[in-house]
Amino acid sequence: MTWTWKKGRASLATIDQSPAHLCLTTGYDTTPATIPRINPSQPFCTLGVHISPSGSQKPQATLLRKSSEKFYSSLSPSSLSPEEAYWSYMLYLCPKLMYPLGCSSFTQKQCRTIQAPALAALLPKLHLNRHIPHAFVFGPLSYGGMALPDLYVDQSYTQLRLFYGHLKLHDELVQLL
Amino acid sequence: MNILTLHGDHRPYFMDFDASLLFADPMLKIARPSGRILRLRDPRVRRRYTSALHDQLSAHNVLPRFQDLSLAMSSGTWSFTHTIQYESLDNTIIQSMLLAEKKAGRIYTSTYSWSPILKQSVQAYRYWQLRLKQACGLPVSITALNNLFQTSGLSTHPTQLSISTIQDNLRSSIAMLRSHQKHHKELRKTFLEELSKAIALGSLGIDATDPHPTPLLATCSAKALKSLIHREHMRSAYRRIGYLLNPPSSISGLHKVDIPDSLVLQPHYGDPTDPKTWRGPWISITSPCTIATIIRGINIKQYNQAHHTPFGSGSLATLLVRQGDSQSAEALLAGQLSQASVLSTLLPETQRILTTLTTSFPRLDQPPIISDADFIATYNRVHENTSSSPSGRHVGHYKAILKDPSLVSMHATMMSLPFLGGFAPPRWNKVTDIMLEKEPGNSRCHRLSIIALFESDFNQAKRVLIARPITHHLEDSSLLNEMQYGSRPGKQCTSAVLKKVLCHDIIHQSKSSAAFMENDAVVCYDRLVNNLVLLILCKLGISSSTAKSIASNWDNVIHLIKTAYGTSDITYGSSPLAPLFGPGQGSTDGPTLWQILYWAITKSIDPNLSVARFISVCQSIVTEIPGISFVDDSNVGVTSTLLPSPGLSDQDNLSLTTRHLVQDLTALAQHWERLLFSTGGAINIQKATGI
Repeated sequence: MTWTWKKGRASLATIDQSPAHLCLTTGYDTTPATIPRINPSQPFCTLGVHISPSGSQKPQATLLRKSSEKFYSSLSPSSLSPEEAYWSYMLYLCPKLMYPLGCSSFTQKQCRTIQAPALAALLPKLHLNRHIPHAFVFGPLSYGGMALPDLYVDQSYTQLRLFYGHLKLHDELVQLL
Repeated sequence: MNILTLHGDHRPYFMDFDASLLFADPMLKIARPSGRILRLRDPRVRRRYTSALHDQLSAHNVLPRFQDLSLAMSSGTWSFTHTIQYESLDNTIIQSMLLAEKKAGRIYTSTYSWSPILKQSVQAYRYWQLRLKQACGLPVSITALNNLFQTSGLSTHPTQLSISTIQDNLRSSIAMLRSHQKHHKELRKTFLEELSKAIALGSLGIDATDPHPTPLLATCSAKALKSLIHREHMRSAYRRIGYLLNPPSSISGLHKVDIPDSLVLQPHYGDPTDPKTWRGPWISITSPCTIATIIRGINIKQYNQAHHTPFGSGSLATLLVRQGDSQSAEALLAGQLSQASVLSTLLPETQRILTTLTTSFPRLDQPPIISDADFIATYNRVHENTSSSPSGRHVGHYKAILKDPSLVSMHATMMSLPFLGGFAPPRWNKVTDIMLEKEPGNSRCHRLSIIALFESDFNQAKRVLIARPITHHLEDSSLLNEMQYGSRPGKQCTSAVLKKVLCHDIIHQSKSSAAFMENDAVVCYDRLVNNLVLLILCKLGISSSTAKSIASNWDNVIHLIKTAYGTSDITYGSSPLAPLFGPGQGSTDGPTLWQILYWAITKSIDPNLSVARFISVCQSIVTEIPGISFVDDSNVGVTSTLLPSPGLSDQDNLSLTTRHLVQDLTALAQHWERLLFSTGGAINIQKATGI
């Protein structure tokens, strides 16, 4: 990750702009093998989360949207009862969508885009209009809402939980924060 | 087929096909998944099992024999004869446990909800079928007939009946069965009500024959019933959800293996002996025997990968021997480095690992004794459905006796004795290898991963004596590097990703330059070198008898191969020509053993090498991070300390920084690779990425 400057603005240098080869030998073998490089804008998967050196959130958002669409295509034609549909959303899809949230910084619009297909499948199964206001869908039970998890809220909550957890541990991560 | 059973106006036709011609396959029999007879939800089943086990143990005089062995161990007079006696006693206990299971439990299908009344109607139907067969003059087992009569709930067992009477009875039994099948849910509910009462009686400690039960019984019973009904309902819901969102494959277990077709050789296809790089056609092997033979080859290769590493073979391995108990090994533990002639032949990184081993650090000295409380705590945490035990002593056997102090004590002591005596019983040496497809539906030979199923008591003993104490010892003594986020209490996988993201963010904000390499250690649990692991365990304070027992187990291990066709007769084990390494995936101590090797690696990192360095804006916080790991998935990185030279153009400065970064990263990554290689591991170069 190196920088090129143009008119006082920095951008990450691509492989073409900063050519170099990372070569390693393995074991007793003395023949060096070249490690492939990726461009800063290219995403890579690490521990189930797709991150990009450029900080782009798009690849991860696209993948989550695909999961949500898959859920839609499975749930919509199914004969699951409202209760089963609810549990399938809460226990199957939500953990899948929420796993990378601690390390992501999606906008509210991106979160809504990700959740839309899943809600479009779930709400009719719960005998609700699919266009019902989000205030009702995500609102707390105490205010008459359904208390379904909102990705955008949960993203902040997960990040806060991680922040406080590491703050208490006082480890290297807190120093970076 | 009985033609007489075909009633109707239609004329039946029969066609006999040769399955091997029709399907181009011999249509081999798929082994049925072995069901467990002993299920623990019903306390009456537990009671029956415990009682039957006590009967068997007392009939075989097990408790006095077991006390003799305990005495011999505590008095320090343990000898080889006692080891033989232990093995004989262990066999008796296995037989007793399996027999008690047969007496206690039941097996039934899940098409209809099980209830005793439905079961009786099935038995009555079977009874009348047999009677009809007998009346027609066909051979019938009298024992089977009597057994069916006893379980069918019929009141009389008439000896002489006409065929028409039997047919009438058969018809009425069929009608009864259909009716019960139709109302299986109601019958199940009645059964659950009785079960909830039994659970309430068990939890309150009241005798079922008590004429004046406490008023609390009704409350407890209602609560238990509600809980049972809710659980059944949720289980059914989860099953439906699971089938919908993750449809299971029709056959459980590996039923074919795809291998490169070595008969079709083209230069651009590659080498058929290296499936990873093969580009040619593949052939599917479906014969159980051939599948097992191929899997044996794959697994031996997999477990033997660490052989060509410094501690696996060569002068150092000869010096330390496989069990890590030679004089040189003891000298190393005492703080003396090996002979200079041997040291000079080693990689500098291997020498650094040896130097780390000579340094002193806090020890954990505890005897290898599993107390009753340890046994109960461990088995309370293990899920009943966990697969284990090639011998048939599954987790249910141990969970069923947790409330019986004498049986708990017997099992706990039987688990401790091998670790105290420094031997491995033959039962513990058997391991079942299950091959899982990494991607469902892809059965190519290089895309299979091994899951090793160990004896449950052995695996849990390793958890109590090695995994848990060592993990806590490493944490308490702050021995582990902050790089590692995997297999550590209180650490999360997402924290490792967050750290990477934060590193990238800081680089963005400060517009500094950095380089990272993402890498993955190849099958890390199957490349743990025995002698090095045992040396570090001893260094950390694990008793020599425990280390000896573990070493003996690794040397005498016999791997059985299980596929969809059942457990094969083809086995494999460690041999001097192809020694096997590592505890295997599925062992409770695997993560801990990797953790201690990881500790040795991170402790041996050269402090003079450049690493990623982040400085806060106020310059007061400086964080140096050589890398981030989650188990075997690691990332090493460096930041540039080179300041842009005003005399050079932007492009020249960029080239200089890139060269400088790559140089530093190559040094660090190569050092990391060699440290990993020295401990038996290897980097997966194909999956490594430079950023």
